[in-house]
Amino acid sequence: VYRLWHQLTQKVDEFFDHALAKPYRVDVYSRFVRDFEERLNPLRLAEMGIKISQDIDSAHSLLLPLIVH
Amino acid sequence: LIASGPADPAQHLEFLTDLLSRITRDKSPDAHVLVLSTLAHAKLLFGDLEGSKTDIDAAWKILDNVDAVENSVNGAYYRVAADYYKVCVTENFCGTSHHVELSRQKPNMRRITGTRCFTLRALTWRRIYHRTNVSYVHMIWHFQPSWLRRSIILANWYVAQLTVSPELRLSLRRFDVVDWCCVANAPHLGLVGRHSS
Repeated sequence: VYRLWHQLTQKVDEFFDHALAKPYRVDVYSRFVRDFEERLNPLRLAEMGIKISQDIDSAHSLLLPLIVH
Repeated sequence: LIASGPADPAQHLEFLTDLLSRITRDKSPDAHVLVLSTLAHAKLLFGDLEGSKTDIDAAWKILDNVDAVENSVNGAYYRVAADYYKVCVTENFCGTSHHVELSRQKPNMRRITGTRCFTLRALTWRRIYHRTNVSYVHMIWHFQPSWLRRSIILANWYVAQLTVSPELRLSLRRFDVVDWCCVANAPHLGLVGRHSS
């Protein structure tokens, strides 16, 4: 069973890394991954969460529009 | 831009704080440190130096008691610790009134938002120059894509050598490169040359 969670983590991670998935990352994380995050490897979960946090008003996203204006 | 942007640093910090509360220290110390370091870094970038320091200290306390962690965890900790001290040293070196600026605004979130607005306003070089508050400039500098940083350093060198023709100087100005030169000339960045306007 553990192996299946591991595979699911890998698949979700793969999806998050896809360029076209960027607009949906926060939603997929909060509506899908949150339901079973207890079962994931905590370190992988932390890495995933940090990746997602970059989509939520990170310092980089705040300044980016000013750079590329 | 500040008014129209939907961005709110509080949301970013809230997300990370929430994540941190779900990945407890007892459950997985290394994952906890990883999130804690990221949170500290976000606080640092949003100008909350004291909050950042508290988290860095907490992260170190945990790391000190754990035998082995993944390199990514160690890396996240040392990155934020290094950036924190860089900002502190910069601040002392330039004699800026960072803490005074912050302590005027009491509530934590207002402080962070205020600092952010200030950071954005500081993007125009004249204000940076006149306020001489370059600790923010240091952070802004690191947000720039590497190609821009390279071109700034290059343009900076040209300006310093005074080999720039008036036409080229004009075109550089059009692309804000000369403005960033001024940023690059901040002494703590360790770049040589002087900006000649």
